[in-house]
Amino acid sequence: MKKYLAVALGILTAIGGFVDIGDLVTNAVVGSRFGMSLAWVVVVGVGGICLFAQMSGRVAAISGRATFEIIRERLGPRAGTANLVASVMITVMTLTAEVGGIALALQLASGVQPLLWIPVAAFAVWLVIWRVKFSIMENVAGILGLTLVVFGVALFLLGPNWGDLRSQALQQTSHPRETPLTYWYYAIALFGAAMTPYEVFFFSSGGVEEKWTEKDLVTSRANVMVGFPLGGVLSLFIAGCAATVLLPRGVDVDALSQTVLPVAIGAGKLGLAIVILGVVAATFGAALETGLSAGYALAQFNGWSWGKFRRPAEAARFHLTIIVCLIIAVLVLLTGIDPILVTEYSVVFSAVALPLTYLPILVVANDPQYVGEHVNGRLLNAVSSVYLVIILVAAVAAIPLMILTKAGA
Amino acid sequence: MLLSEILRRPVVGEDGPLGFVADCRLALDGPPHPLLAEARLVGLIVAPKNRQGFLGYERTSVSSPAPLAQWYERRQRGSFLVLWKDIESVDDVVTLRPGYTRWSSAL
Amino acid sequence: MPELPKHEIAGQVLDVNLHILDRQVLDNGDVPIGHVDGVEVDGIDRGQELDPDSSPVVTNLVLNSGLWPRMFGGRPPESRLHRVPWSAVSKIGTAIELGEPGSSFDVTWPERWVRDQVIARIPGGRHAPE
Repeated sequence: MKKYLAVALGILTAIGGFVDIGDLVTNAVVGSRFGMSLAWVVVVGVGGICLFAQMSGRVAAISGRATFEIIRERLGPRAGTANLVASVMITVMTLTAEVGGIALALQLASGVQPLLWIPVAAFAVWLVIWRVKFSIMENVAGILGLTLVVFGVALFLLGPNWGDLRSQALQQTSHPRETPLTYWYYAIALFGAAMTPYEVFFFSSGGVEEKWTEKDLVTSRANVMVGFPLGGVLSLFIAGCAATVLLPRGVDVDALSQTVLPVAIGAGKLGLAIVILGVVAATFGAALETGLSAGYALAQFNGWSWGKFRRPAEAARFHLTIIVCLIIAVLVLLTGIDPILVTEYSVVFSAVALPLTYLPILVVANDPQYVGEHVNGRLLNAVSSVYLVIILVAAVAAIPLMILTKAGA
Repeated sequence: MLLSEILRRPVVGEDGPLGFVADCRLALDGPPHPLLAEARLVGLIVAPKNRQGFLGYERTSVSSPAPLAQWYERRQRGSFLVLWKDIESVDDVVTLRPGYTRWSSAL
Repeated sequence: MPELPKHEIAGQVLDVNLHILDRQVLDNGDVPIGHVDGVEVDGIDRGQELDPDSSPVVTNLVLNSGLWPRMFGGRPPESRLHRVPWSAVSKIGTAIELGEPGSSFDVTWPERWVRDQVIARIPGGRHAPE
């Protein structure tokens, strides 16, 4: 019985933890401009992250080695350093977006200017990383994030034309006022939002934090294979709400308030209160994950001792890195830059950075030295190779499309 | 001397350039210490090209179906092991003795 | 390409670049203390004719030399070489394990410095998370 509870908890945490500010904003933007015609990207993205999270979790559980140690070993110093620099920059960018997201959500709740919330949010994030146990942190943030299911509730209450939504999803064509270029640009953005690179560092490092062994493989697989797809469904709800409320009115999403507007309309004040709680929890949880991931990446690459399972005094440089990254995030946000803008760029750059983390994981998941007998099966390799191609195409096309579409204007 | 410094140095024999130092092979067959046996340098792996490879992936295979087998094969193509006794001197260039033997570089 | 003859070697065989360089080093408590940047051997004199009968022996691993030497060649000055003797190594697998705690080695001083100057000064730094 205890085992089932643990698995259930893990799944719920995975669902609630799946959505971050990138998913929130990108799905809302996409829903408001393209309806459900990009829904397939969410499906593809969820499939990809399930695949690679499972592989990186397996490597961590059996070899005890986390992602960036492997990147250093496999790529050597030159390519490894380039990888590290790019990955840390993107992770810090995402961290900045998440902290900004917390502040924006708190603004929605309180009416107080986000600039005032930013240092508070960052401090709170740091405090939790400093003092709260890893599993408690994960579980609480994940469960609270589940409240985002109110997007689904609101969607049903809004009574959309389901046939319309379905035909949008299946047609996969651009909306009349959009061009194919913007369609594909947002496809890549959505892909990057679903397959965030930091998730892989975090998942594999988390496996080492929680001292996974071979016995935990089943649980971790369940968390991933059930939790992440359901999290993807949440993303689709967000897009669906936007498609139902914002699309017909031609409302563009450029503020967090518009993302949650459909919930307010569909589920009233109570719905709005719940969704704001959900957004705060999801962005806070994601800020914890990205902050830790920046620390994991730098510490593992350099061979420092790391991990929340150690007292901060025993992982000094790891914690210093996280503090510095949080300070950078705060300083950037205090320039007054719009967190939504940071979010929109961070998801596209995430797509560019994807091959850097996924390639080494795929290689190592096949290496018996690391995973013993649990090497990838033929089918898994075949599917992963297809994903690798998709990831490379997305990574290469992202920047040119960004330039051509002026970042999706 | 640091073995890491020898990597990628050109290797020449009596018949001219042979390639570059791809790796250094050690064997733990010396007198046992409390923990691990002493490690001896057995020889150098010479590879025809000074391969940097794509992002350093010359060491592994990315097309994963039969990764280790394919990787060994690719790694071995043209590369060979020379034993310590066949190495004449190590400087900016590694010089081999006349009549050196090429051994298989497989592990 | 004709098959080359195989040279039989007793004992564990390791390739420096493949199995040792860039690998994580853990102390006897599984605490990461750094990564391998170099392998030092005795018995090779630059430019001199080598003695075919005595193979060089590995004396030390060199850790954490920083990125510059590994990327651009050269080596850090003697005073900055962090050495760990081969006799301290207990296992070479996906990581390199040592038989002694990290505090026995001077390579851990940056971690200790940050710990004492920064982390210990923040409240709660020495406590386990709850």
